[in-house]
Amino acid sequence: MKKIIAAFDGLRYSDSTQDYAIEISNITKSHLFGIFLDDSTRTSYTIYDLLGKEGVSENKLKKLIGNDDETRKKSVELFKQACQDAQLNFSIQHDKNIAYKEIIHESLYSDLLILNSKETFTNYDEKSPSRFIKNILEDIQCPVILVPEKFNVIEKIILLYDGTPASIFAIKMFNYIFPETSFKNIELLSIKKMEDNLHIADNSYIKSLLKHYYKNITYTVLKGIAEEEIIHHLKDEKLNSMFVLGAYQRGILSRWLKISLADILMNELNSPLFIAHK
Amino acid sequence: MKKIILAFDGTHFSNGAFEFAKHLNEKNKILLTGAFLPQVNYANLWSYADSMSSPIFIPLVEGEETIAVAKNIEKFESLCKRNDIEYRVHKDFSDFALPGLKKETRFADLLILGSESFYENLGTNEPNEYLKDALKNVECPVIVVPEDFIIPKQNIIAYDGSEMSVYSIKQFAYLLPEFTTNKTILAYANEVDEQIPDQLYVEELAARHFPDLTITKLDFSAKKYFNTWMGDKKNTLLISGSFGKSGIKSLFHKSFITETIKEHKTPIFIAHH
Repeated sequence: MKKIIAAFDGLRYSDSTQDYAIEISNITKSHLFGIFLDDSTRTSYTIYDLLGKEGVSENKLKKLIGNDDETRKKSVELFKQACQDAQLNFSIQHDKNIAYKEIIHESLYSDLLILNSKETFTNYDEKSPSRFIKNILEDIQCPVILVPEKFNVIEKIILLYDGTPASIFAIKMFNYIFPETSFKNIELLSIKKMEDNLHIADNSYIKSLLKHYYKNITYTVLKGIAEEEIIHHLKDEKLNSMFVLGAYQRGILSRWLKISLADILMNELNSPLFIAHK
Repeated sequence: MKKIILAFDGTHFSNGAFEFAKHLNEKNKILLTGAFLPQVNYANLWSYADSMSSPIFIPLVEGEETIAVAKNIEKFESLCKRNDIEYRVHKDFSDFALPGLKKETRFADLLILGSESFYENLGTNEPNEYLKDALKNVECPVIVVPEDFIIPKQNIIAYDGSEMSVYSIKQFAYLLPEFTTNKTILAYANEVDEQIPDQLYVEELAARHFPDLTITKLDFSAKKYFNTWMGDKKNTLLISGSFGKSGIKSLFHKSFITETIKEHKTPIFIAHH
């Protein structure tokens, strides 16, 4: 049995995190931990909301804190109900410390983290990926699935492969967490530069590994700019895909995410991303 | 289905390592790649890596050794066939020094090292230089198996609160799930008498993967008992991270577990990244 954590902002409960977490826990037969990051620096109100005629109003503050507590409680109830309905093994945990630090710490002791890709843990709207998500991706200690705003059942897996150790590591981690028969449709997608040939990097090595992981796997090599080619390639794809990529390496944002590939995969294709780094 | 590399120590055919692979295959089918390293010991092999930048002399395998290796390959092949194990052999073994093995392990799930010298060298002045080098140069977890291998019936997790030791717990559970149902002891061994770091967290994780789990703190007073205690409990497999920056040194140099490993020739699973 695996331990999966789903991170929630209690003040902005994400239904899609909940739905994906339940679906994935079911597939992997895992125990789901709902981590509610009740970061004490995170409030739904700003300092200006507190200002009254007489300066900061005590009553107003009390009321706003009360409102926030109420919202947080409701979020927990929603999660609880959804897990009970799905008949999952689940636990609920509250962390009052700084959200980012808590997630990193929790991730060390977990097999998988599920997180909404739009999570910011602030009141401000940020361009995606938010600073919060970027930091998480750099320091995370277990694979993470970034989920989009809208839930779709995962029907196909696309392994993004560029021959780097990071992408191979991600493919291995995906295999360890998801049983080999979880998905019927698996595709290895390699995008090469225009001047390169059409061979998959380390062709015989990667095929020998994958042949033993998955019975039915297709291989595709495309040439050009990654984001354009992926969109074009998946234009007529009817199945909802999840991408597997070994993107962020400690300190260095690798090729896959340096460009806005992550945004495009999530926004245009509404696809979850499984990201693992060494 | 996991892809596993079996590396032999020089011209020596390790029956223990093969037995281990065979045992894995009985539970879940594996693809086994036999890597026959013609060098006398691993220490030489790894050191080629550092000299890659300049012209180097790689000792040729002498005639006698070549015959020995060829015999080993033959033995490996016939054993695989007899035991219904899907296998590959790297016959072009003279190329199989680094970085060949490094790349091979990048595309593999686990490396089994059949090595007596590992156990012999433990506790000496430079006990683990070679294993440290090996770990630096492989990209998948490693399990070192002694010659007289007995199927492990219980696990000991050497936990020190480091990222690596937690990583090794997870990797072990992914790669060798057939052993996770065994009785497992998560042992926190440290010279300083302190609480087990993040005990609740590690318990929460380990208990998911190891249903029969006991957590225990070993302090120095436990030292003399530990060895005796291990003596009573044969067939143990040790799971360990590479113990942070100081490398596995701290485990083997300072920790009394060393003695135990040496004396009982415990198979040891090491994952690091």
